[in-house]
Amino acid sequence: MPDHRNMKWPAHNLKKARAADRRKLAEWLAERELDGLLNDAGGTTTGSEPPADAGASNDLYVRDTVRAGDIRLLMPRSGLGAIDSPVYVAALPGGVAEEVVAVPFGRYAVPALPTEWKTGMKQAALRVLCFWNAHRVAVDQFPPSWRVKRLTARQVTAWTEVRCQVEQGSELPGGVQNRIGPPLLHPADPRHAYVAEEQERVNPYFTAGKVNALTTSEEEGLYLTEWRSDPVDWLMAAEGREKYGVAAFIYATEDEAVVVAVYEEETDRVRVRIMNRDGFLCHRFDGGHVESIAGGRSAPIRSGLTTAPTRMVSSLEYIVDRSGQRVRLQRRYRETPNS
Amino acid sequence: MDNGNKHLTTEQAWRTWRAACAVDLCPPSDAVVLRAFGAQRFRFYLDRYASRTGHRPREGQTLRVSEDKDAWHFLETHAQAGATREGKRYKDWLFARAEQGTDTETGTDTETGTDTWLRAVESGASLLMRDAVREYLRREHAAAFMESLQRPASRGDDTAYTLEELIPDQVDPLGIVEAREWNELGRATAESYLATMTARERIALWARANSIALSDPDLTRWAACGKSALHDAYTQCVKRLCAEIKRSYAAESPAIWVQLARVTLERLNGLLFQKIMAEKGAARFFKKKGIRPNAGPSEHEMART
Repeated sequence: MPDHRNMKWPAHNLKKARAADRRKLAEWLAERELDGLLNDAGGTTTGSEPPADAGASNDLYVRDTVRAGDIRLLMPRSGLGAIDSPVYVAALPGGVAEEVVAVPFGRYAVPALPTEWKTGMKQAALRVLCFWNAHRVAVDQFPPSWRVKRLTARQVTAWTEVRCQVEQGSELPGGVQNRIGPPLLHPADPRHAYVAEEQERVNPYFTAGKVNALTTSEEEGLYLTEWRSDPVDWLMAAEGREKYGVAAFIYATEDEAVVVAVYEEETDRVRVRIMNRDGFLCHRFDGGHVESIAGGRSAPIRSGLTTAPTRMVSSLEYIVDRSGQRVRLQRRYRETPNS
Repeated sequence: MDNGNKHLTTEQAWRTWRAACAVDLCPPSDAVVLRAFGAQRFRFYLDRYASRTGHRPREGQTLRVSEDKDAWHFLETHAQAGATREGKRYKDWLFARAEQGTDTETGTDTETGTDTWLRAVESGASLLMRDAVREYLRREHAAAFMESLQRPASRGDDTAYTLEELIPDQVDPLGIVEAREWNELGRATAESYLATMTARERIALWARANSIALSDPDLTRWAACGKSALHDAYTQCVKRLCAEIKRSYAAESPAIWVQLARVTLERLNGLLFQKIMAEKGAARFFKKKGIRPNAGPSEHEMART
């Protein structure tokens, strides 16, 4: 560890912690501790395969049509471990026909993270939505499940709007802010283990045959992190990455709700991440692209990631969503080899 | 309840209950079997809680349900997602789980198919009851430890972080120059810390930074350990770093500790981007995955930010 004597810390302001956030965390930690006390010693999920389709109908399961607005209970996996209680998901509109966003409900009564939200539903299994662990899935590839409830049209609209607001990380309305979890700041926060558990509990349902599928996309030039499942990029924020990462170039929308970070490579393409201000991957522009002043375009944005020609990096002007709506970008600062 | 076998319940009771809306609508002979089972599981989890915490109810409180039927009713209320039949699909979940033979214990030679099925459905119901008991304890017996900012946020664990540490005031550098100074501090700390890390810790940290699940079979093979050990390596590495920072700068605030830990981890990830190929077994891992390593920003680029 560097010499700590006479340490002068770089000048900074302090953003005061919110008492409400600490209270929320205390409440979550209390329930988490209860969970640990009640579990069998060392009980954890075992790795397992997601359920095979029930195939021919029987009295336990008949495949129906999944629709946006469904709340569904997933069929259990084989080889369950000690913590595998039922997994409920809300199917919200995916913005694309025949696609939904499956958002799992959490196991606990209070949200753990800023991307978990208290729904206001009184049923224990449906109290908290975990937007951070959402999965886009084609309707006909939705895992075997039972419909347990239909949301009203108003609920679908409201929940979808909250999801977009939370994912964008923009200033949240007070009503939403009060119902999300506390920030995840400390690298050794016990919520990291919770996230890993939840991923292991839920993700196999949506990534069957694709788990850990690292691929190189020759068309887009994405390396290493082209996951078919959503990358866990909130970890960037959770593990201490600086708000704007270590990118060579940073752009942001005027309200800084969306940050576009450009990482230079030793090739003719650059990697681009689209994030909200907390470092979470932002999916709002999936299906869209970034544009340069000269009209150059990146590859289509997928799961908040894309690539672009190196010649564009210093001149990004817009980020464009799937519908063609343009949002102007402003460059924040640029690094040069000699700066 | 002597029902002629070693299980508390009978298959008939479960199937009747599934067909009926609730245990109250089951024939008495089946209802009493299920209620007795529910009460036994409820008491089991309460006793486990009490024995692990030394909890004693305050005066006027009880750590029990007053009648056997209350425990089962508690499970049904907690598990359902709605009052309709659709809302009670948890029963189908329970049965589907049993039909898959999902219990992790292996049956004995003398165990019949019914025994296996019963064991599976009872274990599934136990999971549901466990969650119901957790809710009961959460509502009725809130922990007192969570009221202080400076007390460890975990009962009986003095090494646990306080609320003030977990959610500290946040350092906000005044500008780009100050941000770079923080990054430089992080780099120096990271270089010092990297030398103390084990190979397993380096692999675990690198994997997390690149969104690779620590349960990835190729990764665990590379690290020569199971996923739990890799998880532990990651956790212990981060905790040790945080502890060293706290020890080295004990006079500072949690805000400084967390800020330094964050920038240090950021720099560590950058260093590992560059050095990961030097790890034994790395080439085989990347070849197996068919990917190019070193996809992160270079240390030179990081030094510029």
